[in-house]
Amino acid sequence: MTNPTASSPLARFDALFSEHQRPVLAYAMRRTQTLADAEDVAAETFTIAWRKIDAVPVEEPLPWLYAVARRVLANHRRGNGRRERLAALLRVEDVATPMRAGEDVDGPAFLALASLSPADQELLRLVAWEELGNQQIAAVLEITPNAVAIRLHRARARFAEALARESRDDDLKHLDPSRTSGEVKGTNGAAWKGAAK
Amino acid sequence: MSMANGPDPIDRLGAANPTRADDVPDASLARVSARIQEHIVTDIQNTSTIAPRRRQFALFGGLALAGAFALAIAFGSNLGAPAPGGAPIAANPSPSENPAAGGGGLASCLVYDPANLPTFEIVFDGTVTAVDGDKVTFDVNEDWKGAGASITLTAPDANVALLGESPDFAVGGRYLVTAAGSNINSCGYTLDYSAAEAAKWAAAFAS
Repeated sequence: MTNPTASSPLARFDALFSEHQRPVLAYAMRRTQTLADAEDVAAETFTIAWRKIDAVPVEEPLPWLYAVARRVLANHRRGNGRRERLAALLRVEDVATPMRAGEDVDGPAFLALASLSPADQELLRLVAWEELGNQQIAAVLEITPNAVAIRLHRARARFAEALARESRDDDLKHLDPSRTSGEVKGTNGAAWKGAAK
Repeated sequence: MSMANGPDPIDRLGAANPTRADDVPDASLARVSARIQEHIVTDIQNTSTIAPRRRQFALFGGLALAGAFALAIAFGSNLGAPAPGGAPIAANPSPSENPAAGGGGLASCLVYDPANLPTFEIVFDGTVTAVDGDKVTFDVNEDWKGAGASITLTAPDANVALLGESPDFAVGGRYLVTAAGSNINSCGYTLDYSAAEAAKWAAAFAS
């Protein structure tokens, strides 16, 4: 591994990329529909990091990278129509973001998450999937840790309630296979499509 | 928060994580890396041509314009313009067979071909007489281009995998060296001396 305290900007960036390329790409994959979109987001995030290398926190850069990726994602969503028109010309492959192989999808968990507001969803994803603490989430969302704690407390309660409801429905589906879950709305990523299967 | 009748819902959501960092496809990482490399090379190239930012350029571990062209080509970008002062370098090089080229991190260096040597600013066979920090002084045994009888150059930043590997310079050691300005090039174009390799370097300047 390279020395993250090295003074050269290129050395710092090289260390940053080596250390955090996987979590940043995973973050993007969990929030985009296709692998190509996730790669776009990750590449743009690190390009911004390269150009602002002096602004990247030395001690804990990952929340900073997630915050950048979050803004990049927002821009991508706004520009989605234009990109889709370009996609046919530019992309060799445009495959769905893959799920973890060989594991069952927890449909009720995804459906419960999908039933929440986008803000609640993102908070819970940052806790459960990025495994961040309140301070780190505050850095990603650019709000205070206190605000994170309050919002998270409420989001957890809403998720627990939704999960209990979805789990009951899931149990009923197993008893009566004619009951099927519908398309999951209001979320992004192939993970959610898996929940609707 | 734990439910009275089951595990913590957040733990359950965590277990449902659709993409763990360890599961990220290596091919995707390679594509992301290539995209970033293109941006870096472009930035370095642009910086080298903008006078007010020349000082910043000097921080980039010693890559001058020739090196930037080399990196651009090494990274498979579309920046494969003819190298300054010599024949155009192949636009689509195959992976280098030079064990000294390449490296970890982002690196994927220019294909090593002694025919490219005349495109570099300084090329010589030298023996190290002094090492002071990153400053290395050579007695020049064979000056193929631009070195003179003795020369002091700046070694590449060993921490930058992006720049590829370069020798560990030691007093008394003999090396085949290319440089741009006062900066030693890496990416396989500075090597521990060997008679066989030196003959190839000499041949590159023979015609």
